[in-house]
Formats: sequence, C-alpha cells, structure tokens
Amino acid sequence: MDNETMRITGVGKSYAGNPALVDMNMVLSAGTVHALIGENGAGKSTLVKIVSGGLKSDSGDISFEAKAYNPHSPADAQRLGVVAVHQELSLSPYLPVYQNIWLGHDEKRSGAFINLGDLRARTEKLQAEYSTSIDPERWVSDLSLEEQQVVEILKALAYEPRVIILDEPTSALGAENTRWLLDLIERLKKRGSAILFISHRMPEVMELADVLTVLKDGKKVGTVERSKVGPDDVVRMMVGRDLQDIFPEKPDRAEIEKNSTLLEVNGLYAEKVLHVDFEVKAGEIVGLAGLEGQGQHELLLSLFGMHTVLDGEVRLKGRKVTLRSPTRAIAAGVALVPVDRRTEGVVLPLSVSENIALATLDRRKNWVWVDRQAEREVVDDMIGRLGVRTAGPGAPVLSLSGGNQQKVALGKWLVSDPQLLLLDDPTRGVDIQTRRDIYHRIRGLASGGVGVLLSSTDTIELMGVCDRVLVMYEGRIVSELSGDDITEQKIVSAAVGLEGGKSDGGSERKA
Amino acid sequence: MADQSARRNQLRLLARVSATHSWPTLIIYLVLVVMLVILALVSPTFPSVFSVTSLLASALPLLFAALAQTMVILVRGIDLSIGPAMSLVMVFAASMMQDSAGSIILIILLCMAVGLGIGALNGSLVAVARLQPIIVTLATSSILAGVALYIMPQPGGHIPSVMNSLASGDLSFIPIPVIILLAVLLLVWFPLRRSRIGQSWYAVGGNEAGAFYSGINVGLAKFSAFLIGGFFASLGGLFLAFQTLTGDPMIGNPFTLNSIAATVIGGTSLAGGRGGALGALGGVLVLTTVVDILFFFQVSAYYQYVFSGAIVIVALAIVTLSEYVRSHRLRSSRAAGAEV
Repeated sequence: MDNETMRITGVGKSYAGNPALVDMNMVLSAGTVHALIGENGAGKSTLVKIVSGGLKSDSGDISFEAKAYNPHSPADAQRLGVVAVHQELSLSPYLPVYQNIWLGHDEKRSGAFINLGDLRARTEKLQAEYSTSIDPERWVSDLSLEEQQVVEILKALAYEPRVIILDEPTSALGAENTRWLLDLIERLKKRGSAILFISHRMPEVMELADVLTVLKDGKKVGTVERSKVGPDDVVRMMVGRDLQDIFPEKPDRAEIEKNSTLLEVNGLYAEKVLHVDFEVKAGEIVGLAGLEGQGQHELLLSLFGMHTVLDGEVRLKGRKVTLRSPTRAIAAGVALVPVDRRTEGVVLPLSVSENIALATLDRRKNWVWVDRQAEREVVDDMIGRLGVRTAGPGAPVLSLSGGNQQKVALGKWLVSDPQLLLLDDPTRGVDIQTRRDIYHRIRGLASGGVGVLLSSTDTIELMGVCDRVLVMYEGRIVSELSGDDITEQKIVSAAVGLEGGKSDGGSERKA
Repeated sequence: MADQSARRNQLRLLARVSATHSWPTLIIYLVLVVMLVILALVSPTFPSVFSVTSLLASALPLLFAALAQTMVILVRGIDLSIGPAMSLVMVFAASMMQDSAGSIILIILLCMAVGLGIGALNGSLVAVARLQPIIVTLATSSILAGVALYIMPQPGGHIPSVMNSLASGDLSFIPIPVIILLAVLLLVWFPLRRSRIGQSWYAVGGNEAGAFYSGINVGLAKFSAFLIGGFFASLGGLFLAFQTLTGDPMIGNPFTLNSIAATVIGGTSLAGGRGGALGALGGVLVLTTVVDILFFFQVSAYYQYVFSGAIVIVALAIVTLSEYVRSHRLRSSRAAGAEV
C-alpha cells in the first residue's frame, strides 16, 4: 500500500532486562484497519504505549507522515494526531463528562482559564456528530463502565486523529455500542485515518480488519492481509491450536439433571434485581447473559452478601441462608471472582503466593501464625494447576499480564473449595490461551460437583461453556435456554428484550 | 410565573447538589447553622455586625491554612509543614517590619516570597524528586520550625498596630474580614474550578495515570498545588501577625492539624480529586465557632485541643455515615421504584 501513515522499524523495549518487544516492524496506512493480535503479554500494550507517547522505546525508529516521530509524552503524540483509547480508562472520576472529553486537549494553545460554555458546546457538537447521548454534566464516577468506555472513545475522537489506537475497545461494550463502534470505525476509514485495532474477539477482528499482525512473546509472528486468511488460520498463528479446542466438552444434560439441587433462589429482590427465581444443580455451569447493566452483576453481588437482599429466599443445599456479608457467604461455601480484577480480584503489590493464600489464611493457621510450609504447598499446587505464568511465587501480581492476574484471582477462590462459584465476566480482556485454561478449570470444578454461575457479555463463551443460560433483561430473567437451544440468535434476541414479552424497552413499567 | 420558574430552578439546584456529591459540603453548612444558633443562645453579643466580623477575623488565618491544605489534598498530597510555615512567616514579619508604609509593603511581599519558596521546595521534592508528600512535609516542617526558632527564640517583635485595625475590621464600618473573605473566595474558588491548573488538580487527584495519558502535566499539577499552597500559608502567617501584633515561633503548630481537619470535615476527600474551597470555608467556620462556644462555656483552653480532635472524628463519622445512608437509600428506592 502506498498511502503509508506510520512506519515502525526495528522497535524494541525491555523492562529490567526482560524483553517485552523485540525488533518490531509494522506499517499503518491511511483508511486501513490494522488489527494487532496476540495473547496477553505478547507485547501489544508495550507497542501501544510507545506509539502513543507513554513510553520510550530502547531501539528502532518510527516515522509519521514521512517525518521522524519521537513523542515525549502522550500530550505530544496527541498534538501530532496520534491518539490511543487505552484499556485502562484514562478518565478522571470526579470531573463531569464534558470536562473529561477535553481534558488536556489544547493545553499549550489557550490561556489559563477554561471556557466551560465552549466545552459544553463542543461536547454537544461532538456527540451529535457521532450520535451518542451521554449527559455531559454527569460525573464520570456515576457512569457505568460501558458509558465510560464510550466517553473514552469520544475523547479520542475529539482530536480528529490521524492514527487512532483502540486497545480492547469492545471488552466493556454491550452489543448495541459495539455496533456503534464498528460503524464509527468505518467512518474513520473513509476519512483517511489509520486505525490500529486490538481485540480478543475474533469475529470482530475478522469483520473489521484489512491487515492483521500477530504477536507472540514480544515478537512478530507475521503480518497477513485479511482477505487471504480465515479465523482458524489466525488462531493457529496465535496459539498453534484450533478454535474448537478452547472449550471443554460438555457433559450429558441428563447426567446433570440427576444431580441434587445446590442453589435455589426464590423471588429475589435486590438492587437492579426484580423478582428472580432459578436454581443451579451441583456440577452444573449456568450462564447469565444479557446486555451490560441488566442486573447480572448485582445478582452475583447479592448472592455473595455484598448487596442487601430486600426480599426473597436463597437456599444452599436445601438450607435457607442469609448472606449478609461476604464473610458469611464464604463460610457458606460461596466464592465470587469479581469483575474488576485490579481493584477487587487481586492485591496488586502483593506476591502471587500471598494473593492465592489470602482468602483461606484461617485454614492454615497455627495458633496465630500461618503455616508457611502448608501455604507453600497449596500455592505451588494452584500455580501448577492453573498454569500461571510468573517469575516465581514471590513475584508481585503487578508484574503479571492481565490474563495471569485473572488466573491468580480465580486461584485464590479455588483454594477455598467453594460449593458455589460465582464468576463475573472472568475473561474480560483475557487472551485465548488463558481463556482456554480458565474454561477447562471451570469445567473440571463442575465435574467435581461445584455449581457455577457465570455472568458474561461474550455470547460465544456462554454457548461454549454453559450447560444452561439464563438471559436477564431489566432485572428479570426473561429466558432460559439449555442444550441445543443455547444459540447466539436466541441469547441475543432475549437480551435485547425481543422475547419473553419485554419488548417495550422503556424504564417505566407497571406490575 | 416568575415565582414558578424560580421554584423550578431551586429544585433543579437541589437535585444538582445531591447528584454531584456536594453532600458532605452541604452537611458542614447545616452543622454550621446549628453551631451559630447555639452560639447565639450562649453569647450575649453574638448576632451583631461586630461579633460576626470578629468571628470571621479570627477564622482568617485558619481559612488560609485550610485553603492551602485543600489544594495539596486535591492532588492526593498532604502538607504537614503549613503550621511551621505560618510561624516562620509570622516571626519574619514581626522581626523585620517597620512603621513606614514602604517597609510594611516590602515585608509583606517578602513574606509572600518566603511562602512561595517553601511551597516550591515541598513541590519540587514531591513532583520532581518524587518523594512521598507525608515524609517530605514532615521533614520540612521540622526545618521550618527550627528556622523560626532561630529567628525569634522567644515571642516578641513588632508589627505596626495599623495592621491590626486593617486586618480585624476595627476600622470604621467597613467589615474588612468579610471583604477579604469574599475576595479570597473569588480569587481562589473561581480560578480553582475554571483554570487549567485547577482542573489538572482534580484530574490528577482523581486518576493520576489517566491524567498523564490525557496529556496533563502531572508534575506541574502537583508542584503548583504545593506552590500556591505555600503562598496561602504565608497569608495565614501574615494574618496571625496582624492579629497579635507580635511574632511567636510556636503559634503556627496547631494549624497543621486544624487545616487538615477543616479540609476533611468540609468534604474534601483524602483520596484526592474531590472537594474544594467552599468545603474548606465551612470546615473552618465550624471549627472556629466551636472554639467560641467552648469559650462561653468557660472550658479551659487545654480542653479545646481535645475538643477539636474529637470534632474531627465525629465529623468524619457523620460524613461517612451519611454517604452510606444516602447510597443505601438510593439503592433501595431504585429497586422499589422500578418494582412498582
């Protein structure tokens, strides 16, 4: 292609002697979507940081629009027209949406004061242009994760970027906003922007990309044109394995039906949860589907004692339980792997070993001291079973890739031998290899008699892993699917309110 | 018609206040009203122009200290050197100032320069050398206290008495502390919210990495908070000097804790990014009123320290509890509302 926008030549970066990116070569062209794929820890984030000015490379050159490109800071890169939408959101929680969008925008150009009226007007124009409607006055801390992601994207668009980097932009988006983003990318292409797109969702990548570059262990595996490869070829480049392999085999439905009932929920009311009835058998993996924010998250939190149950009854193994706090829930054999691993799942500065041991310290208590020997055994066993890639059990979780952090968050609870495992979007932003490990681990637990409730926004995942899927819409379960009925079509149509007589879509409803 | 639209505006304002988390700040003003009522009941002179002016005058040094602390806390810092910085400025002024107008102006400007210098020192140690604010300012507080004692080992010195009349408002009918207060709010509150620097404080305090990736100069944001904070600490020291007309190398010490107390009970979050000058003002007025009330109950000055400490704990508990109740009620009402 001759309409080259950015050329990356021989770029490398090491952290404390460990190479994160080795001799990277890549060309981004105007009006082209270049997908960058690879497992977590493959070097994608490092490349994104270098290109967007957040990190200096150790070697190599980048040229942008035929000139040498050496940004000293993200601000520098943005001024030149190179903008990244980061996976870790860059929004400031206690500023309103419209101030966030223009934050740091023309820092050098204008005077000491901010013209708030002007920012509001520009925000309105921006939202009209890209057909979004988020209340510009709201604080970012009051927005849902999905809305925050939309604001983050708007913020990047405000720069009218020549090169836009989208790092896992859809992992926080529901179906509707994902569609919005994909349309948006088409528009940016027509306008002549070069787009670097990072995603773990293969269907998206295959739909959008014109060119794909696959990274593995900090090195480029290859660059291919989309029209010349199929999804299976790409996955093989990434892991050397076919896609079907990532899901474990499901047991016979009739077998599960024979198992005893583990969890019974009758008429549960809690925040965002409006009268929910369902049960989970021992050894069964039940999926919770739905668009973002339909009460799945809150349902899990109320089963873990973090949200108050306002009405209704929860029974574990036939016994009525009152889950008033996580401590009680844990004592009753419930475990929750929370959605935000960095703030709720793991303690980042602590070591892998300390994190895994954290939830079950009491079990290895020797009077007031912890039995280090026993802990060591448990931790080593868990690291082995989950295949956590770490420099050693003493390495801080901070130093692990996102997927491996998630394994640690999961491992912490597996040590506690839960009867009921609640998983809140456990594979968000996690690479295929790690997903595969996690799916097999979950199935292994279920085979041992554990009941699993898995909330996910990834329909393929729900189809591949779950024995039964409950679809939530506006706080209620509107559809229950099992066996061959678990199809993408059925899940999605129930999730958008097309089935179960909930098609009004409005927030006002009468009993 | 006009009446109706005014009412609608009021409701909208109320909704805005409860929606934008100004809740803790609102509470401190409610507490202030209660305190003022109590003061009116116990004090024979209180609801008078003179008594209000003198209440504000006595609050001014702490107000400057609290504003300094607020800026620093907004960027997730803390300044433990504010009190000693105020002492240092005060003894510097008291030992140098002559009666001529030229000397007064020169020394005031020099004092401000000292404040800026202290702020710049703290700021560069935190923002450039990247040291922990709590340790840096603990160390500088010790240095500043030492320098203040070196300049003036015993309370003494001299401040032209005209400054007292100017600063405390004895001069004719003009309530000078009120004017200073309004000027400070207009010169601090407005720029704080509207300037790029002020916005960067909120952005950095709320999400430091995010602010960096947004193109904000994080170091400059932190440095400027300490720098301007140092400037306000010097104003606090000057007003202490004007009020007492002497210098005292130890008098500033309690202002460190009290500035943190006023900031925090006014609703500024120690985690950074939330709060502001109005909260600090409310916190300062509550603390000052409490001291006045205790005075009328003839509580020993020593116990006043005990009370200030206790008030901070109680106020923090109230703020935390009300936040909890509010979010809890919101949750329940949301669930119940959707159900009907």
